[in-house]
Amino acid sequence: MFQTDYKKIFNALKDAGYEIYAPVKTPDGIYVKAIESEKDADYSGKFPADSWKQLIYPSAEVVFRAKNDKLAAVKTKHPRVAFWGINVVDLKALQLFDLIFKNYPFYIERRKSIFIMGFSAKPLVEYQNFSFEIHSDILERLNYDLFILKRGTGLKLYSASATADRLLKAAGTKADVLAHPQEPIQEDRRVAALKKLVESSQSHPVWQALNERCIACGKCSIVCPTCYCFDLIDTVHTNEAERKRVWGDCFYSEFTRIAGNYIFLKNPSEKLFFWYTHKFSRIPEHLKFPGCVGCRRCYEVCPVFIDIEETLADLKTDKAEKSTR
Amino acid sequence: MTKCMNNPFQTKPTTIVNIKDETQDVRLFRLAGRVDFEHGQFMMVGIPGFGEAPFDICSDNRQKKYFEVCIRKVGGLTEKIFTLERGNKLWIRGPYGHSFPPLAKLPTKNLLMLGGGTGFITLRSIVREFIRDHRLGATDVQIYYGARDWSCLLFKDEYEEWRKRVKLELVLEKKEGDQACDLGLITDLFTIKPPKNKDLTVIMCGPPVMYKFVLQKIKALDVPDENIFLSMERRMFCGQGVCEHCGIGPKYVCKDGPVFTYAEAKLLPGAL
Repeated sequence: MFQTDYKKIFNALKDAGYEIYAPVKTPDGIYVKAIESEKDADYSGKFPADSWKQLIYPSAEVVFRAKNDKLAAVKTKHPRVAFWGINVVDLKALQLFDLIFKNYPFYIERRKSIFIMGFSAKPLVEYQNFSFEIHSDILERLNYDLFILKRGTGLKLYSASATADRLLKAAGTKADVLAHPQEPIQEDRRVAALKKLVESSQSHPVWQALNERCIACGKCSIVCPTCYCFDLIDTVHTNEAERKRVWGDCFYSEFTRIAGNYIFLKNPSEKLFFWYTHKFSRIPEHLKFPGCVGCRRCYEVCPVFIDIEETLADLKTDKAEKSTR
Repeated sequence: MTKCMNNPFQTKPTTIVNIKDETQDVRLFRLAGRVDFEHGQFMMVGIPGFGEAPFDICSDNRQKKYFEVCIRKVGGLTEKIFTLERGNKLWIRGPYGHSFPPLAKLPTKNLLMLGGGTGFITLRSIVREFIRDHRLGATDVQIYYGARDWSCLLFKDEYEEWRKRVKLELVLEKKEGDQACDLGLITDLFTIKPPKNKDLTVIMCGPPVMYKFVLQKIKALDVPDENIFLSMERRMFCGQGVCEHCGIGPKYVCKDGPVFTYAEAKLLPGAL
């Protein structure tokens, strides 16, 4: 029965001109890919190996152009893109981008053209993880247009935007609306505890032990759904110059190199510590939001099997035993 | 469509009204326009197509017609900037950052300022305010300025004017002939020209290695951590606490700094 609903909504999105992206099972694992039919999507609720961020925050984009000592407007027509079946944890990560870049027009404009359909095949509290608390009201607090919750043999639909309402009308179906919670969000005790743990850990032997393992390849930050560091890179053409925002990577020495060739993060240990302090200290400090959503993509992609959850657990002990194995 | 109007990375062209050679590879650029800034704040200065970088503003902070940045030729962007002439444009945005305390509200009547190398640039705007504002007359100002040799000293033709108001002590790693300075490192000045009064406020700007050794000397004088202000340097792209390059522990140098008290800085892992 619910397959009919999927099809109707999918077709309504297609008709509205959206390019639809979904987790897709491939021989190499699940990846976020463009799909032509709702049947192409993976509905297991598992994390894709890559993150959704490149759709909302591409690896490079022009922030301005300049011509003859004058700024030239950047005209970008963003295609309509729909996220088909992003899970609640990845939605939490996207919410971080909405927070950070709320005043940045290059982000806002693209964001307007994105339709987000969340999906869960299991009760949401089952997404519980090591890095932040998932409460029963999580759906009320995330940013999406439509959320589909699989319940037994049926589907529960929640609409959170006028775009979703229009779409559902076109699809001949309806959704519930969740009231926006009145009470302010409670401090996440897990995030607070990890902040304290990581901030006070600089001299912990775990970092030295990881220095021997980490090869600073930077793959973790590429797949991380919350890594958003960027460089501003200029290029010059015949009579026009442009400045681009380009993904940065704190594992590369260039990241902290200043004039005179001084590098502040000198070895894998300092780079890892920087990466952890961004997620567990700076983001919670400045945005009151978890900087890690506990998806473990970084572990899945790490060539030397550094396990973020294990590292945090090791920081709670006095030894570096686990990390040295 | 992204309008340039509200783009936080928007940078605007401003005219270079004067260029002065300070040393062989350092130039003082006077740029047209008013920038309301406090001591220790910085501007992002650049040229579209060649990048931009943070530079501390070093002119009088009540000057309404122009502001000045002092730039050392050290990389691709600054090499390009050095090809510019009076009347050409530099592109700016800012000012950014957390500043030194207002000079009227320093914690003590005695101020010791330390500048190492090009870090000294940042202190010039402070000196200029002490010269201009006679209401600050009660503050005793001593400056330690350390550089490699005489040819590296910045703002040399201003020292005579400065010395009517502040005690300027110069120390060089290499001294020749009768150059009016001491020989050694900036830390040696604590012995050669010690501060008269231990009830001190300290303002300093220099390379990380300078802080390490100078802080030992200052702590030996029992200066409270809250009375020590230092400016930190990191790579920066956005200047707004977003791009992450300047993160240290829970803070951003561009937004929470570049000026921190030692009380704050010593809690930041890897800061000093």
